[in-house]
Amino acid sequence: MIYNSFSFLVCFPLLFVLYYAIPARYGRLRNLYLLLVSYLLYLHWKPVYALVLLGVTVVTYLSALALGRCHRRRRVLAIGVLLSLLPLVFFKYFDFLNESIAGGLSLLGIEVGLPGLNWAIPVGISFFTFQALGYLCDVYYRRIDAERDFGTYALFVSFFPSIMSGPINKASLVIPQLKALRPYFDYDKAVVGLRLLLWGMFLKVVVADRVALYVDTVLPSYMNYTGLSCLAASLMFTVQIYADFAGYSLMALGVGKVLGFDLTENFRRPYFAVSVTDFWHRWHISLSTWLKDYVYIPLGGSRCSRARNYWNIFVTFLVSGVWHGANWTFIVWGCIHGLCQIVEKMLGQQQCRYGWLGRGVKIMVTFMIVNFAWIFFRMPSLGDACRVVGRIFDPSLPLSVFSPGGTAAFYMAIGLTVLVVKEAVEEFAGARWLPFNSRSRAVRWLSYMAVTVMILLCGVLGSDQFIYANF
Amino acid sequence: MKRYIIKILIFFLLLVLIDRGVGYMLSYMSDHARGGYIGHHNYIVNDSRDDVLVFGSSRAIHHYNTPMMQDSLGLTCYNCGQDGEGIVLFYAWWQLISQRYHPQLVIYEVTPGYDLMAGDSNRLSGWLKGLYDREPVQRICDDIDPTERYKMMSLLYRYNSKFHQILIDYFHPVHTMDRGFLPVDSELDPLAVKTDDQQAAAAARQVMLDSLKLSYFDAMLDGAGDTRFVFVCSPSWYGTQDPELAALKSLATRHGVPVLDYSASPAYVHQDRYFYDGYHLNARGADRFTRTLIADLRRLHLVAPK
Repeated sequence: MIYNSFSFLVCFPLLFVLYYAIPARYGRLRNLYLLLVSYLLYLHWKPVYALVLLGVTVVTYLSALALGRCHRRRRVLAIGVLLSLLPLVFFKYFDFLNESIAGGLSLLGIEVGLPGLNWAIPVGISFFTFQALGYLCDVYYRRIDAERDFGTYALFVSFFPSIMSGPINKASLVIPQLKALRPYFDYDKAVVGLRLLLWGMFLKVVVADRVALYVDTVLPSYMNYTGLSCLAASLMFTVQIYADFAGYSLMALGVGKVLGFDLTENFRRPYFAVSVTDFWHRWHISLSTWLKDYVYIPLGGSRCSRARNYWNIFVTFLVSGVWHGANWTFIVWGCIHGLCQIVEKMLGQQQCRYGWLGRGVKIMVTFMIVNFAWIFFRMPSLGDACRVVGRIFDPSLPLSVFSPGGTAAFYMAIGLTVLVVKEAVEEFAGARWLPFNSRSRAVRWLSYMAVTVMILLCGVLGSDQFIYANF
Repeated sequence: MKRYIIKILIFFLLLVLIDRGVGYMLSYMSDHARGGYIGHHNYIVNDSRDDVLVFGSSRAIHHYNTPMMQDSLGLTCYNCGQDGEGIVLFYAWWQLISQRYHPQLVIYEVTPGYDLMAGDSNRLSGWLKGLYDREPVQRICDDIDPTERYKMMSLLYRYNSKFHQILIDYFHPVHTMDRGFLPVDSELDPLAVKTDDQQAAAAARQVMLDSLKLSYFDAMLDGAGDTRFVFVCSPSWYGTQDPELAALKSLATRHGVPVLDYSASPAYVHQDRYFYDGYHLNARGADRFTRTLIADLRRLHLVAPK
């Protein structure tokens, strides 16, 4: 479901009313309703791909049950993981693997290649597959018991607020909420949910989609722009991807809370991180937790030799890169993050012990490293990414910056100013100083109203898709 | 739950009050703009009585020297060009203008990306939303997106991304156009020219026409009345012709409308002194092109001096 669309504004109140029309004592009926809604929304996108969702659900459900009954647990886990990953590999990585293998063989003079698949990737496949795999691993490691009720488990995998772009929820967080007899209506949670929805919408339409106009003008035609313009566009992309993804995550959390659920927090002001390691404690937290729990720690984590630990970090971020997409650009992006964290660990620079000035410098340095890596994330090929970097450092190019025009710059400035001030206040003073959390009702309501008016007056209201929906 | 719903209703009630209050204020300021883009639009839609009108995107604004045309042709001319806009906006404007009068000639500068091709993210022009109360505009907005009728209930939505321009044009207009013409006095920026690879990629693109846009051209020409139309493709530095133009040329033939295609004219191709980027003429190029156009309009007897 695209949260910034008109259909969401129409559908959500309806879903909300129907959900709360079911009395709290019929918890299973409420779950059944949510499952039905989740599948209907998924079917609305491309009906046949709901079979992929169902397939991954059935495979992990049965594998988890088998883990409880079978002695060859490792083998069951391996089969479950492989079968669950099959659709992901097929839809997302087939073309990439095919082209890479054919390219490698052609270097050896062997011309072999299968025809490529020009199929759409099932929406949210990386998210629901990883969520289901996380559950399977938790059952394997005996952190949780296998869920016997298929309906509850299917709802956990397909829960509509988070299926498209996460967060990747842990079964231990969501399944108990689904099974418990929830209160009929949690007022405080629902209020927080609407605040998250409002702020998420602001991030998406006022900030992300506005700066996207600049990014999408400059970066696809980077050869026609100066190095400074490319740098400005890369900085804008850094803002765009945060506002876009955090906006989606907040809206997913908000919808969950309005319905009475707590989902995993996904962002904690990542651009105030003092190191790349710290960045990953604040960025896409549900994915970094997943990678830590199911890749890094099983590899040995930090309880091993230094060299092995560095290798574990590198592999973890390589997997992160591969997860993001079937392109060498994502792999390089993951490697940059992995290598930076290894260097930080070697130099003992994961935390900041230098006071305010040092913290400021470390935040700036981390921001620039992350920004540099985003160039690889954004560009369609490694060659393009390297050429953009080359232009940024090319002293022969004019020192001018492409201006989007006074009006566009004005709207960009509004969104960016509000975002930076809000994030800085929350980071350095605390969330209680934010107008949304003020003790004064007048201040709170004024801030809600101001944000809504800004969305209507300054937002890019074209229902643009979220970046992470492509993953 | 009851308290929650009551608070949501109060919030929306307050929002409606603010929406109406701010919306009416912006509507008033837009209607009374002293100049700039908003004043330019108000003139086109409400006041123009010119003999010759020029429609088209930024290539129209910067390429057609309407004061020169006015002097040479002995007819009043006005450049209605608007950055990044195509047939959707100009069809709506044409509907509104033709309710008042029929100009002698409409010169339509064709830019395939905005006028013919599918996948245009700005299909529904933001400039139209402020005119939603006018009947033809409502119909066009509904054609493009049936949900617009509900979105337009919000006055703030109608002025989305425009309020800054409205404030400027009401209090202190900045843009000064001469009969709608906005010349650009700068030399060609070599960076702003597409590379050979980029040109090859653009030439190899799949032709995807927007049937709604073509239907608006049809409707505009069907309702031309006494007005003569001419489609023009002004020069580009590249000298390439867009494949989408074939569809427009066949439509023009069907309606007996002449097409003047200068896109590959050797007088301009790769002539750095006439352009400020690959697609836009500078002031010198605009002057030369306008002189050529005037001569061709006379040769084809498309204008009859008063």
